[in-house]
Amino acid sequence: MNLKRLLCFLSLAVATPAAAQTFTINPIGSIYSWLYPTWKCVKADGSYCGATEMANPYYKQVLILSTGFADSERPAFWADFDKTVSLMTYSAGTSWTAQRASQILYIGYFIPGGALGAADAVFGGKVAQHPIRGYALSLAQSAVYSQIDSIRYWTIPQLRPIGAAVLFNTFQTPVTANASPPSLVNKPFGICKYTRQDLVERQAYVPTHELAHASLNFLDEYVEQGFEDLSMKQIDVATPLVLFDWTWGGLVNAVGNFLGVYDYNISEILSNNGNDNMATVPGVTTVYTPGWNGQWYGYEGGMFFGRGTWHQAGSNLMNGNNVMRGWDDGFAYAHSPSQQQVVDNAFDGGIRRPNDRVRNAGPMNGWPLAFGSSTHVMLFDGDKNHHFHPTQQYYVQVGWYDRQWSTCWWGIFPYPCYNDVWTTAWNWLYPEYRSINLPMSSLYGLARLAQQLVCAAGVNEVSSNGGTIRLCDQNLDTIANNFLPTLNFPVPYQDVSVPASQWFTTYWWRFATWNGRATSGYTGWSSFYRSF
Amino acid sequence: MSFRRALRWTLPPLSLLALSGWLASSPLAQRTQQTAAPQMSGTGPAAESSSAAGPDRLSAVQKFVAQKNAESSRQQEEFVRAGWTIVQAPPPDPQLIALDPSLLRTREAELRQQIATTTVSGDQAAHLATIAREAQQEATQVAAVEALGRIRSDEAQEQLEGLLHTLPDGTLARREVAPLLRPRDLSDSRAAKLAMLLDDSGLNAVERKQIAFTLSLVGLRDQSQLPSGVLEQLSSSARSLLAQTTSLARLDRSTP
Repeated sequence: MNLKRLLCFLSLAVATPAAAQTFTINPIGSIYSWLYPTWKCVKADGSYCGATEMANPYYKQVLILSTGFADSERPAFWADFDKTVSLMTYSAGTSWTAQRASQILYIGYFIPGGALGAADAVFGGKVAQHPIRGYALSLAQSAVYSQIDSIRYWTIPQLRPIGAAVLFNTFQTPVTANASPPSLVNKPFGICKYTRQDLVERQAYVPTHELAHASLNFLDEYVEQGFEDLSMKQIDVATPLVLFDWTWGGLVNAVGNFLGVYDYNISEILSNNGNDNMATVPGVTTVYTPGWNGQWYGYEGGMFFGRGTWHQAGSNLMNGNNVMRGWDDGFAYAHSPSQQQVVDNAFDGGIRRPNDRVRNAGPMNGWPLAFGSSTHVMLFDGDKNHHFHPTQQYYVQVGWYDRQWSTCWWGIFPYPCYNDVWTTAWNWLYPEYRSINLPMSSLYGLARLAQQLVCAAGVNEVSSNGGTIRLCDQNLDTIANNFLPTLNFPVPYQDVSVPASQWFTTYWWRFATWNGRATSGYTGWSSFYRSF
Repeated sequence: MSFRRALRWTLPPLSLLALSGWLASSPLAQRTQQTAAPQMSGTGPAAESSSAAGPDRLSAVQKFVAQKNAESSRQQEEFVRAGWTIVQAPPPDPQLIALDPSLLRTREAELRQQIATTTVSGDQAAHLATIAREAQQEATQVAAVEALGRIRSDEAQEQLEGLLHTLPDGTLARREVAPLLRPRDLSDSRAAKLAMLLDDSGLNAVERKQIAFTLSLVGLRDQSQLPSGVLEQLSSSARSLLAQTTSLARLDRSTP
């Protein structure tokens, strides 16, 4: 029996079910590709899963890819893959990966390549010098999404991850792990990065926490040191630099950039934008919806700042112990009630609350400068970009006092008289994608802070001159101001065209949302005045 | 007195009264009361007074009525043409849209929803400040302060500044105030007023730091500094605080 046959026999002896793996049949491939699979699917208990389970929507898939591993390091990758699964299942308290262990399929996919930082490193993975704090993990996120599409096309047609992770082959420390929440990067799932050292040093925390960003769209509830007393709302001094982009159309674009007409804020775009566990107000439920209880986020802090952002009471996986507003405001392998709603929604389906984080966002009440045949009103909807129950429809009401004339009599004399009759028109519309630009070149001294905030939110790549740049490992001091990229964000705002054409009339408007299960209550009435 | 004579003495004043009534109730008048409570319904005399009864007069009035109604219905038609449906809905409650603080006694939750879900105009800033001070529920106090912060007007900023000195220290609403104080730029007189607050012993240390941070952010945004006259009036500790927050905003440090 020659060596090849022996290895083949051995590989079959340790083989997992055929449906669960793909062997790369490569006549000149290494011994490792014979002994170790390119991909495998396991359940939380380590048992193998196959096409049937992967095709079953009851199960949710977590995908783990590799970077910085040579082909000879397959054993190391698979060992740490198994370790990740085990830690997330058995060492994560009541976090989502532990409580929903029976529903999670872990799919590992090994891609050999150069060492981290080398030109041929998979996804361009590297440990980059962070411009502000030590080192951070960096890769080309677009390459990861492309790779996943390719895997789905060629190898695993049932691949539908709720979150993806890339395991970096390094033991360097300290290195900041990070992840992108899907709603901020406008993708169906996010990507998180962690290292082999993270598994050694911080055990279950890093993959469970980072994958919660990428899978459940959560934001960090902990606070950056030095920013304990500062408020997220203070960065709204940069809101005048925000530009409405092409997604808004001409008129709104022109009017919207005229600050003061509409009520939009950078703080809301970063931390009240579909990430369920974070808001910029404690009273997150702004409208009363019959049959539903509202939510109150009583603890202040999160998304970098100690003030101006709010999260719900209950120590949890996304929190930290740096700033504690109460005994139950710290880290725990657990979830706050609102986080738990999201976990239940993600795994069981069924929307748990109305999209009731809404506000009329302009024109400012009584705005006197509505001209032309229609006026654009703007809606703020904190759940417009919710990852699990985005708003499906908006219901808008517009009312005005209609002068209805009739013939009255004064004795025997007829004369025209009128009644002001309240008239209401109603319409519905689908949400449409809307985004804004924030040119970093206009931020001057705030550019580094903006970079840090955006990276903390998980936005690591930005488009620039037709390509993409990895924002989070750029030293902005070395880039000429004119070449700084423009940040682009999906926003929680929606414009509605109102055909209010009657001269010298005050119009009133309000709106509600429908998320597929519940219709929210209506906002209060706001007004604008149509002159001519 | 003959009928003709009676008419001569009563009709002209009545016509004048009718004309002024019509003008006062016309939509033009609404311009000055955009946020005032709208009229639920009302009747008004016509612009044209009658001088004689008869078929001609009646048909003239009816023609006028038809013409005005056609104008009114045009708006409804435009909505319908644009895909809207005319529906029945209750009109806005005048007290609620005026943010009448007296509602705090009986309808605080409704008032809070109105505040939290609309964009309030600058002339309602005083009402909001009253509500922030007098509301029973913390949620309403906070909503009022937040709403003031969303108004980008001098009146609102002045009310916020007032609240900084009147709301009890340590309350949720008071904690919201300082981060919402924003000058347009550092040459703005409001920036000078805010700078003076850095030496105000009525503020706590966190509030002073927040105000300094805002001034730093505005300075970095515009690449500008507070006028030297203002800086000279500040204590050395206030100037040092400004330098510290500017360094923090520039991220001139290594955070762990």
